[in-house]
Amino acid sequence: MRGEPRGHRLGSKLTRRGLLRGLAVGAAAPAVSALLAACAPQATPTPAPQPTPTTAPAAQPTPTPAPVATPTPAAPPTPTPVVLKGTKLNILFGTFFVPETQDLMKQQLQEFGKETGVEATIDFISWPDLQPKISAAVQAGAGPDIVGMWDTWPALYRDALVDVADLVEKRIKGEGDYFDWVKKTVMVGDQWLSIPIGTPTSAQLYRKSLLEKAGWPDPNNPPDTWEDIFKIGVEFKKLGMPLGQAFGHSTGDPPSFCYAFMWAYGAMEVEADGKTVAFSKPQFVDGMKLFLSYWKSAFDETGLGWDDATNNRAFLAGQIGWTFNGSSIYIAARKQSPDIAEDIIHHIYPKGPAGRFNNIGSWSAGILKYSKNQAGAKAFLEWWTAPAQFRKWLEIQKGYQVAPTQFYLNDPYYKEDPKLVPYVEAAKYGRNKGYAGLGNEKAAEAFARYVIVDTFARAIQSGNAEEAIQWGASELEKIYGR
Amino acid sequence: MTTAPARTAVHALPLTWRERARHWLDSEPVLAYLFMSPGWLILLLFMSYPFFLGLWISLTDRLVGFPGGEFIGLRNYRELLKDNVFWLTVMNTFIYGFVTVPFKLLLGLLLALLLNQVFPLRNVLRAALLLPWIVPTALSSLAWLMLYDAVLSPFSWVLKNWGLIEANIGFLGTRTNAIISLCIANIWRGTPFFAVAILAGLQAVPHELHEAAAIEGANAVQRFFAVTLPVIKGIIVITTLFSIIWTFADFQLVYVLTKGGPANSTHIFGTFAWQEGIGGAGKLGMGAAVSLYMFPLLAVLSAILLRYVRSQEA
Repeated sequence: MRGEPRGHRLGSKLTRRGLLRGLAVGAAAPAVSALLAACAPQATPTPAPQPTPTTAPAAQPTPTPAPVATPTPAAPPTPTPVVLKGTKLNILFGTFFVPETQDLMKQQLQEFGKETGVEATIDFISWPDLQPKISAAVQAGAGPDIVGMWDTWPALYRDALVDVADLVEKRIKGEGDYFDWVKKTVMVGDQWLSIPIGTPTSAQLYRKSLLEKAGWPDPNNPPDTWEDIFKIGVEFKKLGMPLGQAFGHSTGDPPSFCYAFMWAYGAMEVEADGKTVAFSKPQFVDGMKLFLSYWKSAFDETGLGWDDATNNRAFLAGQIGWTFNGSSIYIAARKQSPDIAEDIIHHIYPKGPAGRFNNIGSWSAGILKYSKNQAGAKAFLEWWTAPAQFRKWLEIQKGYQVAPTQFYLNDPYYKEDPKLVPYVEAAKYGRNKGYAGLGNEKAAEAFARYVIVDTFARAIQSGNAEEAIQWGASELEKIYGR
Repeated sequence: MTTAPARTAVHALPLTWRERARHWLDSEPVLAYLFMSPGWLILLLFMSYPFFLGLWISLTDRLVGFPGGEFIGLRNYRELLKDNVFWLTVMNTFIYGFVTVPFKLLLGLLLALLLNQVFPLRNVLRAALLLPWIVPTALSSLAWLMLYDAVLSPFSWVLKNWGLIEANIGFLGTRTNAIISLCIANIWRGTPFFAVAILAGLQAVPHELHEAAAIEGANAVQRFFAVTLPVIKGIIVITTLFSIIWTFADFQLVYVLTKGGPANSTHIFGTFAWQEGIGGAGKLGMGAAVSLYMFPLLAVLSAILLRYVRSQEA
C-alpha cells in the first residue's frame, strides 16, 4: 500500500489552498508558454497563399475631356491591372491643402474597388505626423500598404520599400521621362522604390493694392530680387502689413524661404561629391546680414513661432502683405474673399547674386515590403498614376501640384487661371534638398533636423550672421561628414 | 497496535514525482511566488523588456526601417554631451520641471482650500476643476496653440484693443517667450491634480482639532500651519514628486506648441528624443540615448518617493 496521500486530493475534496494552487498554476502556464514562444527563434514565415490573380475586368478609363494641348502623343491605354478580388489595401497620405483632393482620392479608391474587388481604404494625416507614422509602421512591420512620401523619404526607407521600376517604366513609356529634379529626389541610387507624383510648389504672394500704396512703380510686376522684397517690405510694414514668413519647426514654408535664399546667395549644403559642406560662404554671410538688417523694419517679427498655416491665416486676415506659399491662400480666397483673391499677385521666386532658385523635389507613393497585398498595391498605383486618373487628381488641385513630367504641364488647368502660372514656372528653377549632392537620406536628416531653417532662426535671435552660419555648417558636417 | 509501524513503513517508501510536486507546491514560499508570477511576468514583458531593449538600442547606431544596427558602445551618449542642443534641452527640462511645480503646488493648495469651504455649487465647481486634467493633453494643447497664435491670439487682440500693445505678441517666437508660454500652459494643466489631491487630504483633517485651536485663540493662518499642514504634508510631498516626474517626462504639450523650435531652443528630453529617434532621420539609437539621460534623475526621484511612502507606512 502506498499509504495515505499527503494533504487532500484535489479531486476528492476541493480545498481553498488546492483551488488557489490550481488557479495559480493554470494562470502561469499559458503565460510561461507564451514567453517561451516569444523567446524561441522566429520561425521562417510561411509565405501567405497568394490570391490567384484573375484576369481583370478591364479598368475602364473614365472618359475625360482631352487636354487642349498635350505636347506628346497620348499615352497608350493603361495595361490591365491584376485584380485581387477580396483583398484589402490601406493607403496613407498627408492631408492636402486643397481639401477636395482628399474627396477625389476616396472616390477614386471606390472606383478602383468596384473594378477590381479590392477593399481599399485611405487615411490622411497632418504633414508633420506623416513621417513618424511611416517610421512606426516600418519599425512594427505592420500598417498601411502604400504610403505617400516627401521627396527625400524613399532614401530613408530604402530597405522597407518594394522595387517599383516596372511601374515607373510604364509611366515613362506612356508619358515621357520625369524631370531631373524628380529623378534626383525619388530615385535611390539607380533604383525606383516609389512612383513620382509631382509636388506642390510655392511662389511669392503680394497684395497688388499694397504695392500701389507702397509706391512700387509697376504693381503688375512685383519685386524680382530678394533685396527689393526687403526694401518694399519696409514700406509695407509702415502701412501695417509687413512681410510674413515662418521660421518655426514646420516642414513647408520655412524651408521654402531658407533653402531658396541660401542658394540665391551662393551657399549650399554640400558640393556635388555629397560630402564637402559648402554652407559657410562669404556671399551667404553677406546675404544673411542683409536679411537681418531688414528683419525688424520689414518683417512680422512673430514669424519665428509660425507654422505652415500661420501665413495663410495672416494673409487672409489682412495682417501681412507678402509671403511665400503654395496656391492654397489664393484658392481659399477665391471661395471666401473674392476681393482678396482679385488683389493677389503671384510671382516666381526672387533672384539673388547667385541666381534664382527654389526648393523642389517630387513626392512619391511607395509600397511597403511588409504589405501582404503587394500585388493589389501595385495594381492600384498603376491604375491611379495612369493619365485617366492622375489627370483628375492634378486638375482638382488647380495647379497646386506640379506634375512630375512635362506631359501634363500644358493641360488647361495649369493655364486657365493666369494667376497660377508662376507655380508651374517654379519647376524651371528647382533644386533638390541636399543640392549639389543628391536628395538622399543625409539631405532628409538635415531637413528633418531643421538645420537650414534653424540657421536663420538662430541668426534672427542672436543677430549674428557669422555665428549662425558657422553653427549650421558644423551641424551639416556632422550629417554629411559621417 | 499494528497500524503505527505500518504507516512508518509506508512513509519510508520513496515519494513519487507527483507527490513530490504536490509537496513542493504546498509550501508557503513556493505558492507565494506562484501568485506573484503573473505580476512579475507583466512587469518583465511591459516594463523591463522595453527598458532593456531601449538600453540596448541606445548602444547601437540603429536606424528606423533598418534591422539590427551595429554596437557602438557609448558613442551616442558621448556625441550628445558635445551637442549644444542637448545641453539646452537639459536646461529647458529643468526649468520646465522645477519652475512649474511650485506654481502648481501653490495654486493647487489655494484652490483646494477654497473648495473645502461650504458655498453654493461647490460640487459643480469641484467637478469643473478637474477639466484641465481630464481633457486629453493633445486637445488642450491645441487650444493653447490657438490662444498663442501669432496672428489670431485672443490675448494679443484684447491687449491691442486696450491699447497696451501695438503689435501681436510672439508667444512662441523667441525662446524666453516660448518657455514662459509652455510653463503657463503646463501650470494650467497640472494645477487640478494638486488641487484634487490636496482637497482629498483636507477631508481627513479632524474638525475637532480646528475647533480646539480656534478656542485656544489661533487665527486662520495659525490653524493652517499648526493643524492642516501637518495632516496634508504627506499628500503634498507625494503629489509634488509625481508632478516633477511627469513634467520631466512631458512630451505632448511641447510637441504641439513648438515642436522644440524656434531654432531647437524649447526642446525638453521627450521632444528632443523624438526628433532624434523618430521625427528626424530615424536615429533610434540616438533617440534612445537622449531618453536614457533622463533615467538617473527620474530614478532618484522615484526612489525618494518610494522611500517616503514606505516611511509613512511604517
